[in-house]
Amino acid sequence: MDPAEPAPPASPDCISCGRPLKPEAAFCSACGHRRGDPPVDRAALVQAKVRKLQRIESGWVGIRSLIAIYFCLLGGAALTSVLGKATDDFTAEAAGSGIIAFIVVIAALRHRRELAECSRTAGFGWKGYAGIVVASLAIVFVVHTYVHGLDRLFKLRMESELNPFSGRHPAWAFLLYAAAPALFEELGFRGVMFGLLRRSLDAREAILLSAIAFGILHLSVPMLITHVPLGLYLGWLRHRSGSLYPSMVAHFLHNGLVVAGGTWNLWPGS
Amino acid sequence: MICPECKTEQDFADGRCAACGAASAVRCPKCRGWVAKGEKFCSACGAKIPSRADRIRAAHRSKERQETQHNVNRGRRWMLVVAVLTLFGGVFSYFSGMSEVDKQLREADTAFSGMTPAERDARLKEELGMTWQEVIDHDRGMVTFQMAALVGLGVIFIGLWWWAQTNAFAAALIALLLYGTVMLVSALIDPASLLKGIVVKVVIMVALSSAVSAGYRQRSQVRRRAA
Repeated sequence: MDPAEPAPPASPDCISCGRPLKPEAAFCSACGHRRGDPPVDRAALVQAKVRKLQRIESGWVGIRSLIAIYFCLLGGAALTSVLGKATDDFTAEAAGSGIIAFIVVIAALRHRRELAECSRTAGFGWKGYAGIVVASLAIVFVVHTYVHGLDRLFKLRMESELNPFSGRHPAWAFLLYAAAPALFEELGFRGVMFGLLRRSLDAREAILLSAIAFGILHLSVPMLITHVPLGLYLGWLRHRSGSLYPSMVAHFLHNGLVVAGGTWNLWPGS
Repeated sequence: MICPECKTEQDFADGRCAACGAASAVRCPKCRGWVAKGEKFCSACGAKIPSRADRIRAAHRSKERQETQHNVNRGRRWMLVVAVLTLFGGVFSYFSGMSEVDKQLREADTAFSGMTPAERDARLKEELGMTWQEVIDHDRGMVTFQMAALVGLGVIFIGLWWWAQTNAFAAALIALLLYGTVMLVSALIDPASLLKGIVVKVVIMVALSSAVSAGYRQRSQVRRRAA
């Protein structure tokens, strides 16, 4: 543009709301729009605000659903524990897995929208999955050392939580202690619960809360020390990958290695 | 500036029109310049000029915020109550548990009085899979472990009480889930314990539930303000 050419006269009306602007005004006194700025899409702004308020409302509904699902799972865990006293380990564990699976499937169907995105993608490439395999070995070693340390410290002679079922094929132990939790606990905690928390919380808070819920639902105070960090790790995998599958694989490997250690006495001190 | 009363261009020395004397201008809250009454934004700096309805709404919101803060503080106090009760429970369970174990060991010692230590160990090994010394270590270990678990829980509740200062919602939600779980676990270990102090337990569950609700309301209020 030629510098000698005079600047075009300022618009006499506000380009955002159409009201007349005062000659000396830098802003429209009716809508607050700055003179010279491009027009604002007010309808889009209102829609964004409405969406934000709707998210706040749906967030609270999500939190209430999460509390309900948690206490249903807690009831299932209690029932498993009662069955464990009344019957043998295998029956109790099979029934318990069935109860947890039933609750999780109902919750997943009810909140399938939370699972739509994370169930469609593999999340990581082969390198990511290889990293999960290596990390699982290190995690199981730390957990094993902690449990045995606790056993020796309090002289409790605790039986390992994931001992193989006596007189049954080891495949049952892998199915009930490794495959079922990896599938249903991940679907419940990293799928439904994480999704419900993410409606109103940021990722860090959602990972922390789902990890603590995961830790305390194992109904053991000493296990909080291992399961909360494990839940943090699995939650981080879910967030980082945007998929459920890496955390399912990590959970399966962790439990599977513990079961393998118990079945074939692989770990030092077993 | 045009006076909204006499519709003429006038100076506003103290918020009054120099021609008609009507109090027809207000100060902009941001740049402190004069703005004609009825205008929604300052034409000099673009700040929103609060209307009477805005001021009433703001006062209402401020009251709401105070009420929410009050409820959040009440929730925090309940977390502290749970922490203190759990810590006392831990110390009490240690002393009562130890005296109970000592009593049982004395009774067992009397029952085995005619046996040599080797015979006693052999019989215990057969019945319980442990020697006499292992039985003593196990029973005392269980009591110490229970005390450590309860003290650990008490410390967790103190941590939640502290955390609720900055994140009331998350802390209250964890406190509610944890307390409900602990109640269930203690009922599984000893079903009779469920009815002990049931009123206090129900009151705590209700208080923690309303703490979750207050925490979420506080968070929503902050987000609504931002929106």
